[in-house]
Amino acid sequence: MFEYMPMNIAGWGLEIVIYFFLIGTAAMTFAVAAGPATFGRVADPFRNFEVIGAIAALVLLIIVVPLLIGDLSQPQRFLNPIIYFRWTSPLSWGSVFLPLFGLSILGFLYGRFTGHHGLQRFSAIVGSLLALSMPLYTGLDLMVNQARELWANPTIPVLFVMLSITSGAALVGLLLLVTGKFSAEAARLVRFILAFSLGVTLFLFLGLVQTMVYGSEELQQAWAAINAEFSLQFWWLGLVVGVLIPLALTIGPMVLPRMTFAKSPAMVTLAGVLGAVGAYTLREVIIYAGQLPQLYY
Amino acid sequence: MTAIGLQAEPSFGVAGRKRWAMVVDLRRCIGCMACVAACKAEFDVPLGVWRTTVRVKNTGTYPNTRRNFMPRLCNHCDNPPCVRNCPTAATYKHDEGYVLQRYERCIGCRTCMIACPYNARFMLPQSRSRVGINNVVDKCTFCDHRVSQGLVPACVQTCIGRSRIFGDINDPNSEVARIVGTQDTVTLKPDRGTRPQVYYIRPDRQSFEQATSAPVSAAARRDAEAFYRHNDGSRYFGGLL
Repeated sequence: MFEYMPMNIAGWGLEIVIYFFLIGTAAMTFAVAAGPATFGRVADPFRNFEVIGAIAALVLLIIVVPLLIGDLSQPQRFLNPIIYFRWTSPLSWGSVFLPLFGLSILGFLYGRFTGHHGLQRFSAIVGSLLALSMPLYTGLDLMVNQARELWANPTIPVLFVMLSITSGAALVGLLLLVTGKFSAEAARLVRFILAFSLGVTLFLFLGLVQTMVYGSEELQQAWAAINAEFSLQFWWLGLVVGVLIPLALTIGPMVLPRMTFAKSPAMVTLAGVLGAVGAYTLREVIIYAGQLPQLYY
Repeated sequence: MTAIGLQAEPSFGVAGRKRWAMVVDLRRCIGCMACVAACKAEFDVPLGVWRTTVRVKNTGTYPNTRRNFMPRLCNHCDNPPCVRNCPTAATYKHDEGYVLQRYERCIGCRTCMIACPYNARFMLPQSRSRVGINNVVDKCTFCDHRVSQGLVPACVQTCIGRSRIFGDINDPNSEVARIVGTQDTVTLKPDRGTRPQVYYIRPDRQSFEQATSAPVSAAARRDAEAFYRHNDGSRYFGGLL
């Protein structure tokens, strides 16, 4: 079909990869920061992360929004998805949720600083739901494209949520470590969060591989493209560095009592950062490789 | 089947409504590219992009060879995924079956290009010689401006072999309805559920099947090389292509 297919390339490139990664990271960082206000005592170890986390999420948001708008070829029309809202387009939903998410962060911080706990709790709950919608809508943006078989897979939004939890937990660990506020209890919670997200990611990764290997010709093209062009990112940075090693570091202490070193905040942070590397590269491979088969098929 | 998120209900087979469709008789296409030239002239389509194009493929081995031509254009699907995915309704479904574009609404997010299984959409370049529509997604319109005046699309008008045939498929007396009803026609990627309305009469299986193949013919190879050259090092894909 290569010779019969017009070679127009849509080109969701680096800007989209970075946007998907950073917005997911911002979202889950805020979800952790909002944890104490949302869930109460269960999330108490993150009480000292409320302000840092919310500000970090806001800073990331300030970075990614211009990035997203700048990726449009008509950036001055960025409000059109809201003005002409289309319920069938995940991008439309995302463009509504994104500013609401930003407002929730501001409401959370305002409530925190002014002692308005009602507003803080309301913003935390609504903001956490909107935070969940960030990786979900980016995954849905890919999933709804029935023309791109690698993406048209219902596990993609779930995978993106898991990758966001991983990268968000990495930023939480990093910020707590740098500010000297990473308590043993907080490290334990971050380790559990990472173990969960990385474990689910591993199963979703294996599912994706199976889908390609046993899939249609177009999926097999994606499989070939991944192995030819992205093997470093997919297998080494994505699977080994981004999933297997950090998974071993987070699950290890649960099954091997001698692995106490992995319980330290620094090691938990390291596991998170490695997981974030995988979260980025797996997204990159899925976004790029998902667009390639159609050029050939 | 239901089609969601469209501005007009699919009209294929609905009595009393028009449903424009095209038949491309591949047995008659000689690859003269007159349709491509006519389209370019009609819409001032810039260099490097096409609303319609004719792909070339060589099959067989010497001395049993054959050169095949495959005209491509927007399939004006009855269930178009590009319309569903457009976040601004810049691309929309017309009551008579066209899939059209509102340039003033398009934000250039390229979602419709991603959604199209036929790669029929393209981004207009920043500078054009005569038309002031730039940096938005464009596509074939089935020449709705001509059809509404009782004419046929420019590519159909100019096709010297009458390979392209256009008409209202809902009208049982139209040529397209008669051909689709009586001849062995196929559509592209029907498995995607898009219900495309460009029908092909294929000369043989080998020339049409969607097999994966490297560009063999000189024309296809030149196209592919130009494509890679123009996209290499671009901001997309970090120079992968």
